[in-house]
Amino acid sequence: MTDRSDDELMRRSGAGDRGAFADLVARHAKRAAGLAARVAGNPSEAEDIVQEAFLRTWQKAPSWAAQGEAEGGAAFTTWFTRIVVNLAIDRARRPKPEPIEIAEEIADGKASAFERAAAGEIGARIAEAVKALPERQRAALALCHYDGMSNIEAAKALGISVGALESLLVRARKTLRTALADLAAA
Amino acid sequence: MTIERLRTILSAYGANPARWPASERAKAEALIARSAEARDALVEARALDATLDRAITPVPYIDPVALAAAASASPQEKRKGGAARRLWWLEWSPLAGLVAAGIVGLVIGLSGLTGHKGNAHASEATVSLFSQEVEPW
Repeated sequence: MTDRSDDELMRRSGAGDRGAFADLVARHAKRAAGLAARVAGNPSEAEDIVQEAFLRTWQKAPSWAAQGEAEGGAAFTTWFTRIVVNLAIDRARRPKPEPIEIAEEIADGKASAFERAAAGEIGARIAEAVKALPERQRAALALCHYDGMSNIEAAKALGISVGALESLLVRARKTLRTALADLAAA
Repeated sequence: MTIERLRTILSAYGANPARWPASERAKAEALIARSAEARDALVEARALDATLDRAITPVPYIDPVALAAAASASPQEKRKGGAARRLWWLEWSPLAGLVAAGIVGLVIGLSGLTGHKGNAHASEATVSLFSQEVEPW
């Protein structure tokens, strides 16, 4: 993989360099998939979200430098994270089709078998508690706790102030502390 | 750093100092070093962190090569701003010229109506032009 910076790869992508774009995708696809899965609350949607995010990245690459300057020189990671988070929040808010009884049983059975086998009962329960948070609280937690972003970067990616981010995080963790109190005590 | 502020930091970011606001990290660590109450708060936050770390969200594998090829097969948007933005006025120049000519004509016409009687012939011609009534000289 190249040692060029993201910004350099993005500038080259903007000039139509497909090799530079492929390096950018290789560098960020895995992280983007994890973030999309957590924020959307549905791993099966993560693939579509990541595909859409990279498609937009390629399409907007020619004007990215100018846009970045207009936004105070936002780094590629922050800019791209915002795209992923916004797409994932949109997906999470989208009304789900009314499940019919049989379809619901099949879907639940699949998710349950996959998730519980992979993560175990407790891991699945914690993931469900995170999924039950409001979208923006979930996004803030995904960025700061699971993704390791700094508070300043995460606030920029969400398009909010650091104070607002902190408030989202406090509420998210308070809810989870209550919901998972028995696990913490165990 | 007050104990209240430290509690807020722990409530928001958890027990790992690497996640705390960089500008407050040193003061928070100093408070923890000298306060038992602060250390208790840290232990509580650490317990919730450990619980959250047990959550495993299945993440689909995405083939980056195929993804990059598919995305870059679509056309890119044209660059915004730059030269195109600087030359926007050129697109409007014919219309601007027409408007300017109209204003000049109107001024000349009005000055002819209210001003020099000695030049009445020319004034009439100008006014006639605007009212679309062509009269013989």
